[in-house]
Amino acid sequence: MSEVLQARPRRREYWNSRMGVILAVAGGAVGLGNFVRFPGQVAQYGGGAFMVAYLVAFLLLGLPICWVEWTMGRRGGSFGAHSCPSILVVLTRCSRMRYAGLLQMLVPVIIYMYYVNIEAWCLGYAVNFCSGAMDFDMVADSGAFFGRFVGITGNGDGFGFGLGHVGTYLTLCFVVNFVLIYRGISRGIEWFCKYAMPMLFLLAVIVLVRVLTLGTPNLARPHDNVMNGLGFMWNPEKVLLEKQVFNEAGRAEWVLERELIGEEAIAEARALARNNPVRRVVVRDMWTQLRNPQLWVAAAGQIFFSLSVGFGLILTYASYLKKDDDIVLSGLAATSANEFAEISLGGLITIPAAVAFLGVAGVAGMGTFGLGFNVLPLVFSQMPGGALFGALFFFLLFLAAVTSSLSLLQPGIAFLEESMHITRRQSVAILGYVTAVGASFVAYFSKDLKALDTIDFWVGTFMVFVLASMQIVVFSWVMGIDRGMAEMRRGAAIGVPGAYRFILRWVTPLFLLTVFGMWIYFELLNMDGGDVSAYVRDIFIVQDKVALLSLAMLALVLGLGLLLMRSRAHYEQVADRAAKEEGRR
Amino acid sequence: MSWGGWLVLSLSVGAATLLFAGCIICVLLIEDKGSHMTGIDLMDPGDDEEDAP
Repeated sequence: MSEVLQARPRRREYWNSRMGVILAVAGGAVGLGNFVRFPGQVAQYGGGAFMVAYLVAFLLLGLPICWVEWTMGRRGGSFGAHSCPSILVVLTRCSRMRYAGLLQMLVPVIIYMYYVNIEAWCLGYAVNFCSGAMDFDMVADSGAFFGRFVGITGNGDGFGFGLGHVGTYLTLCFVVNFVLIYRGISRGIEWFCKYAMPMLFLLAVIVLVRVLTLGTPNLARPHDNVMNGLGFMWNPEKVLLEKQVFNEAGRAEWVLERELIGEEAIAEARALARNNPVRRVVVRDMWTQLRNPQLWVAAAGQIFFSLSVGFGLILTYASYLKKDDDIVLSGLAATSANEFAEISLGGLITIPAAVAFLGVAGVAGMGTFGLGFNVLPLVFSQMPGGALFGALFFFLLFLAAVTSSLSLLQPGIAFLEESMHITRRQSVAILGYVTAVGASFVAYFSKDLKALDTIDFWVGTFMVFVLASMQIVVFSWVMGIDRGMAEMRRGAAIGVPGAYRFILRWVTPLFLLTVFGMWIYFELLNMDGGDVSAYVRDIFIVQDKVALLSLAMLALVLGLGLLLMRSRAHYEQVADRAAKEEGRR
Repeated sequence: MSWGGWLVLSLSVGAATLLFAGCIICVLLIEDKGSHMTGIDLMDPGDDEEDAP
């Protein structure tokens, strides 16, 4: 195998088994989004309609970009490139692409800085369930615990080192992540994922059985039961009770009062509407909901972030494959593991459990953190055997977060090793220091989770859209679709449908750009009415200090990356040697 | 829960579970046949530069 990048022989790392790499990639994808974000999205947009858009996005966006990342990564690795800048330079033979590669590498590293905080929350909640500290009567109690735990009331408030503060768990998470990363691809990441992923699935099945056997926990509130929870999540039609109000211009308009689940609730609402002219019951079927462009943005966004495409994780992991290793079946298997965790486990646990105890009104409109860290702890604390099942549930989220964290760190390790020609020990030390500073920044500026939220929006959402668009353009238009498809099919254990040649060249880029455009229209600029998004307002209008400091920190990390990156001459040499090697092959 | 809800749930959960199970079975079968990926040495011979935990 050629050594385009390295002047002297270095230890080459590889995955030890096909199952190991599949579980590692699946572990990188499975996270909080599968068990908390996905159920919330499906419930909000009406199960059937959302799932249609979700399936379309999976086939045209998620799966193709996954295969693209696997292909680009393996090809880069076959030239000895493991860091994102080198992989992109090798693939495009253009030394300027090192800057795009640098961004591709920095995105996961920066995401790690806040993601490790969420990982620490999960571990902290698991421990607190074990210690009996999670005993709540209402959602305000669990919300207050969350506020104290992460320090939501003031900057630095959560930065303590006790069972009820995030500091201890943050330190523990750092130690676990960096010990595993230090052990390397095979003995660290692969070894951990081979045990953690099956354990995660097992824990999820145990919690799922508990949830599905809850029935109607409170007989005084017969509407609040598991079946209505499943209905709230999966019914393709939405039955809504609306009320008439007058807007500022004095015009009458109908606004949503609540969603109706269960025949009795619908019958009661219809009776109410018959006698009340300012109330009405509206049924929105699946096809009506599918005409809502925001549903498509939500479904595509969920697929996108759930599969971790565009983050550069798969790119880096795949670079440790051998050049004839299968990537089509492995990519499909890793993707399907993520979908199984998301649909078959996450889709049946979170919302049914929450509705069974709190009813539809207690769940509707909750964001990811609200559902995960306010509603679910309350639900588990009220459930028979709740301390055990709460601990198991948050421990499974912790496992999912660790496997994701490892995948977020590896691109940075690969970059440092290649750029500075240093050992893993040294690269782990440098990355550990940089990410510790960043994670402490996020943990300290905890008021309203402003730092976390700002970085998540601009790096974890906006930049990921940009980088995924770049990846698909590089694959289909710079590498060339013929070369790309040939590379993808080399060593494949199963065939890639011929339609994907057309899909990858035209449909995926256009679909992605359309979704990105709609996301900017609806989420960033709020062009359909109302103010621009809070994230734009924080920076350009209000000039919120923490939001600006967060961007300054991102700029510092970018500056550090530029300083550490090797010279233009080096990357020109890499591009030349890649072109020559390509000719020889 | 409406019949439509049951239909969506069954199709979604069934498809996700079958796809996952099918892929894992395929991967296991291929690995059983002795894939060249199994048991690869971690390092090139003669390189003692790197750390070993």
